[in-house]
Amino acid sequence: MKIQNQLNRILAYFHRPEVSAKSAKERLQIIIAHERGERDKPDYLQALQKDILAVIAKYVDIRTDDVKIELERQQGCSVLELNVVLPTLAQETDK
Amino acid sequence: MTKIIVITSGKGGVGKTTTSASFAVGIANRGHKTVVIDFDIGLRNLDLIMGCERRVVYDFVNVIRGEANLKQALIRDKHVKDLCILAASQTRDKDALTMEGVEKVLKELSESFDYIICDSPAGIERGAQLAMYFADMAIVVTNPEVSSVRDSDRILGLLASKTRRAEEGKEAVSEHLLLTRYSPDRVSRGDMLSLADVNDILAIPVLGVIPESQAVLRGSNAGIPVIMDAESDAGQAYADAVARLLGEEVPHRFMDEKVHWLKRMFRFREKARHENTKSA
Amino acid sequence: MLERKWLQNNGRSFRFKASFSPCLILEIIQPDMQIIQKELAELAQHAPRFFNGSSVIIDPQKISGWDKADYETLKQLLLSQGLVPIGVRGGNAPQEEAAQLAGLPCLNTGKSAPLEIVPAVPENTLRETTRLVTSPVRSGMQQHAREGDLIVTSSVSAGAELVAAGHIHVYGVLRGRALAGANGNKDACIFCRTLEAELVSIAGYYLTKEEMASIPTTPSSIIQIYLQNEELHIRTL
Repeated sequence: MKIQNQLNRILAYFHRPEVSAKSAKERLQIIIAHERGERDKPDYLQALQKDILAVIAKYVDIRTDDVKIELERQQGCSVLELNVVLPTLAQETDK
Repeated sequence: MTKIIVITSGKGGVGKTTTSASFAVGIANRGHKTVVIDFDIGLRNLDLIMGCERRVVYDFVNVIRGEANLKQALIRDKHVKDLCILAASQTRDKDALTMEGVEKVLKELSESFDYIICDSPAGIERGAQLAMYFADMAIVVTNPEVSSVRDSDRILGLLASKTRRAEEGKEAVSEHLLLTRYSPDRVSRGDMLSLADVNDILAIPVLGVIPESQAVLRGSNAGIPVIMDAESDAGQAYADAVARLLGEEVPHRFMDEKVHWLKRMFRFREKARHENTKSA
Repeated sequence: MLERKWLQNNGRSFRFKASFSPCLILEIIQPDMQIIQKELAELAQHAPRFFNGSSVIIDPQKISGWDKADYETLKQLLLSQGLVPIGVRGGNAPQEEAAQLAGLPCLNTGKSAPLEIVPAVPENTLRETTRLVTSPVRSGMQQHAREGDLIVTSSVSAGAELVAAGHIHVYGVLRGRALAGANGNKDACIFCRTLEAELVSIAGYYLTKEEMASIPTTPSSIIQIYLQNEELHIRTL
């Protein structure tokens, strides 16, 4: 039993560091890419989202989560993508 | 009554965030509703150590500024129920954290949580001051190393004077020492300050001693607080410390020199040879 | 190091000493002398003990246009209120010249902080003379006994400071700085149990940790540091 444990420990010693460092690298790549994108975002996006929400809310019943704004940079130009989820007609006629 | 605990140190890199994460998990696992807040301004670490970095939408400053409510900003931990995380802001504005804003958030959190853990940034500037200001209890994380001990002493001075409890003449913030990155081998060789040496200078009750462990790095790589690695010495030491915090009496482990079986064999041979030469 | 030793023992006919006597900075904000006179008189009424022979350094940075006569007038005004103007600092070249002609030399002083004037304390309030400190004095903290002795039963960390007008007694371990006789009382002493302090001083005369290390002491329970013939001595009781 004791030898088995020692053997397992030796194997784990070689196996584990590689696994955890690999997952660390993956996590970092994802989060740093995301954060670099955030850093380049212009300051007005959040305020813009709030204003658009207010305007749409005057006509339709929507919540903060239903409005999403993203800025995408492509070669030569930036694209502002606006996603608005409107309530279905059935929900509307219920009101 | 909600208990506000600050994890502070003065010195950077001693294990505050590691400790905050492990204590948050440990306390929540005992069934107490817990929230852990990253008080850093501009740099965000707690979310990485807790493994929730991809789910941060709103942060502490967003809540203070009214740009989001607490419900939107709090992140539910995936591994432990009853545990929530409030991430730090990455704003460049150091004045973003205000005393009134922090007080308001803590008050609101007190309505739904039993324990609020404040992960303080290093230093004694605004983030660190605000993290300790409203605390009921402080865990002072210290390495057995000269600069860390001196900085911890400085922090103890501030805890006794620059907190709400001190300023209002209430019962003092209770102070507890958590000695981290302890190596019993180096201590026995005389290369490292012992627990007794550190406490000779700091003179506060010892909450726990966490041994230097490779499990800590593995934990932060994976985004899993080390207390969840129940096989590791550091993980177990954190579990002991949490138990002590909650009032249990637990003897200190991992404080003795690890003598490898080969070394022990050689020591025996050395001793035998020595006996022979003596008698010869 | 050598510089400090030289300063302590320089010359046989004179000696420079570190002094703790307070010196005020008078920052002039607007140049109308009549208003200054009126406000000074009001202040004297409001806080009479404030003007107690304190030395004053005039700082004219915020104004311009005063000549020798103006500085002369201000000097006399301050003297009449019991303040002692000793010089000027922070002014530009023409200001310095005008002040010097009025007998106010230019001084080179460090930074200062705004002073809060507190109204006079009524005579019959009890003043605390000896202070007793029982909690540890941590690095960066200071304990001050303004009028009497300071007694500390806990330890004093390296980086902490004890200041007393009278004696200082430390029953814990003294690792920080202890400054007794801070108002000039040469009979003040420091009592402690070990010689681990960063610095000890009595009425401005001081010894650093290095200098104390070279002084032999027999291991005993109480150490007394006292001033004799303008030199600090250490003995065990």
